[in-house]
Amino acid sequence: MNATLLDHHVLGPALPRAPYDHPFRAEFRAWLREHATGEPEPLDQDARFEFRRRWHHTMAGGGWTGLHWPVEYGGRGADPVLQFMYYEELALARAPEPVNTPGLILLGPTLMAHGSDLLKRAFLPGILSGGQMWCQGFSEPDSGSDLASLRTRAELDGDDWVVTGQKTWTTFGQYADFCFVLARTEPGSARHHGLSMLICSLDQPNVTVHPIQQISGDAEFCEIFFEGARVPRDWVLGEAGQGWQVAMTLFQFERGDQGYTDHARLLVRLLDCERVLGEAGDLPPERVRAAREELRRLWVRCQELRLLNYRGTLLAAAGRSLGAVGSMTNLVWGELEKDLGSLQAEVAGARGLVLGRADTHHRLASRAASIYSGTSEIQRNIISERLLGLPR
Amino acid sequence: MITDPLTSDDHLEIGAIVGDFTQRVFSSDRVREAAAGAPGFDELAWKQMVELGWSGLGVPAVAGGAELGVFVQCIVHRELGARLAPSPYLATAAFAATALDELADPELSGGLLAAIAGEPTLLALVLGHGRGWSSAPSPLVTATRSGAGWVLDGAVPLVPDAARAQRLIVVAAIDERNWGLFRVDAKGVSHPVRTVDSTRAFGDLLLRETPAVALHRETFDRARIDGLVDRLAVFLAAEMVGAAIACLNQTLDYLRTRRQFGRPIGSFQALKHRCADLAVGLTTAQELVFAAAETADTGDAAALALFAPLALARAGEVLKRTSEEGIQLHGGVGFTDEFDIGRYYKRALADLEILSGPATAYARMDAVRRGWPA
Repeated sequence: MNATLLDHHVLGPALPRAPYDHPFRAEFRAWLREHATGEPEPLDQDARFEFRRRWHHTMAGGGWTGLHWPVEYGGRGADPVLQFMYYEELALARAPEPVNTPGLILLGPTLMAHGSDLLKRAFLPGILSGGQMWCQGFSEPDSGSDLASLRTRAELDGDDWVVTGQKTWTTFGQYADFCFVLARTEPGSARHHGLSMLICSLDQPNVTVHPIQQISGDAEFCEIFFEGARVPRDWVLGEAGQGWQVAMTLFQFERGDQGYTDHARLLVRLLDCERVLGEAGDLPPERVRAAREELRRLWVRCQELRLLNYRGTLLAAAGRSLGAVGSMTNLVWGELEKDLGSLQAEVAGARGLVLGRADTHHRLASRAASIYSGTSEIQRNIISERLLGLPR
Repeated sequence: MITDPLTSDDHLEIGAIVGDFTQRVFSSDRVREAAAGAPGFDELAWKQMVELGWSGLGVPAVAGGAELGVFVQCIVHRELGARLAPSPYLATAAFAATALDELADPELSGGLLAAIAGEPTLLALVLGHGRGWSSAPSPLVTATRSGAGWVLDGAVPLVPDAARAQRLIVVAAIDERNWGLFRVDAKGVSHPVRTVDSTRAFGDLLLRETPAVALHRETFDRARIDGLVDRLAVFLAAEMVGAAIACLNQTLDYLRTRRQFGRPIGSFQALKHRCADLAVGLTTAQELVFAAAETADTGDAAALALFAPLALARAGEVLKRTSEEGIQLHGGVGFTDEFDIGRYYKRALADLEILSGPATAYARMDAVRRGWPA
């Protein structure tokens, strides 16, 4: 295969504690040089998912998935600094985006923290290998930013929980085998109490998965209807009724992982914009000038995101809580992703309107970035109230 | 408050000690008093800082300093910036000491460095090539041999701390390619200039066949001057970030206590979100500054050549914006002299001129990036 790996300079100046001559980088680059293809991802979503699934299998075969998982669960026990370098190297190899991230990053570690031995044995290997795909069932039509107001309920019936309700914004639900569902299991309970985190198989007649068509043409998110779906009684993470705490554990993993706010992939895309601008195109000079200025601003913002990710990494490595760094990272990433999507299409000029092109697609797709992992407005609320101590 | 890049116990302890000292010594009243008299000078505070050994933090151990490195120095700068301290620390202990350490011959500069570490010396650094990373069309200061020594000629406007320095450390052009480092007596050549920021003692410099002592053994090229500016930029950026943190904190205090329409004005979302954006800018700028400082200490000059202009540009933009927003968010009292918030705005304007403003810093960043392998 022999992919060409981009030089480390693409990432910006070397960071003191994640140096470019680190032996981990050299080891991973050697593997990537053999196995990555650098081939662009297909634009068709189903093809893209398959493409990513194949890559997941390749990586799992080399022992490169679940890097941060403990060795006893098949990982490498990598610390956050290695994880930071891992994502940077993947981006420099133009490797496909990881698939099954909800499983690898969110549910796997949550299972390790709260799951019974039975659940760990049953599910962790499939998550790691990519043999089973996972999705998360949190948001509901009337519970978006205000998750505690959710209405999906589950009741015990013999040895099963029976789940009724609707989840929405479930990423890649149409490809998933299992969903982790936050449901109200204590009738009459309110807000954060009486919730449980259940593992629900989607391969059953009482579950309907309905992809939501997006303005980009993708359908990355699904509505999932549970109409008496059955979940074995012991497929609960933590204690029944303690679902909110389990969900909070899970969210911490989301904020602590650079895979969600990957500065390196943005920097590689920025490099591509720079190359397009360097070619003699038909863009009028004033648009080239404006694009170059924007390019520089975005490069600076990428460096800022990189340092936020780095700080988060160092905090996690020291076993300290991320605090509001998570919200800042999310806010900076979401806004940056949108502006980069705009620039990529801008440097294509009028061709950035043509369907079937990556830049056309990315611009439209990027509008979701400041919404889907907590809107920028919610992040600003969190920062101003929890970090800055402004009154509610 | 925002995430602190200081994590080790040693650094946190240094931060706490410096914070205690500066809070006591550079209270708002005392800073105003000192600035009203001789601009930018609190003599007693400077003596105390020298006694505590802080003026020698960056001075090599052989010259009697503590040689603790740029990161630790930046902890001090951050606190000084937060208090708008009228102190020679930046000009003497950071700028002059770094130039001597980087460009002078140790045998010729040892005495000056020892003086910085051990006595309340007052020096100023004169960059005779231009300002920050940018070059003037022709050198601002030239050096000519005169008998056994040298004379300097030229004019440099608004040199920080030149108005009260005893001696000047001058980067001057010897010919088209070669530069040297010189020492001159400040008397008669530097002229105080009153600026919007009374906590810094700017002076205009006029050199006319001024006798000078060479401090270099070998001359150096323009690239070495840029390398020096990289290091100076980190110190200045740390002061800016410190000032911006204080500025945001004062604004937040006001928003939490000032009540209108029956509630604290800090509960209004339109104001909250502006503060959140300021906090994000400040956090990332501070991360850049301390990453630059750590990089300077590890000796990775190539990485520093990018981190330094990035840190200076962002710290400058962030301090300016935080102080501008600080005035606005204070409402009517924001533009009164009774509140300190306007003093941070004035400091921002002055700090942006000390080395390079954002436009020049970004140009430097671009130039460094262009020099990279593709």
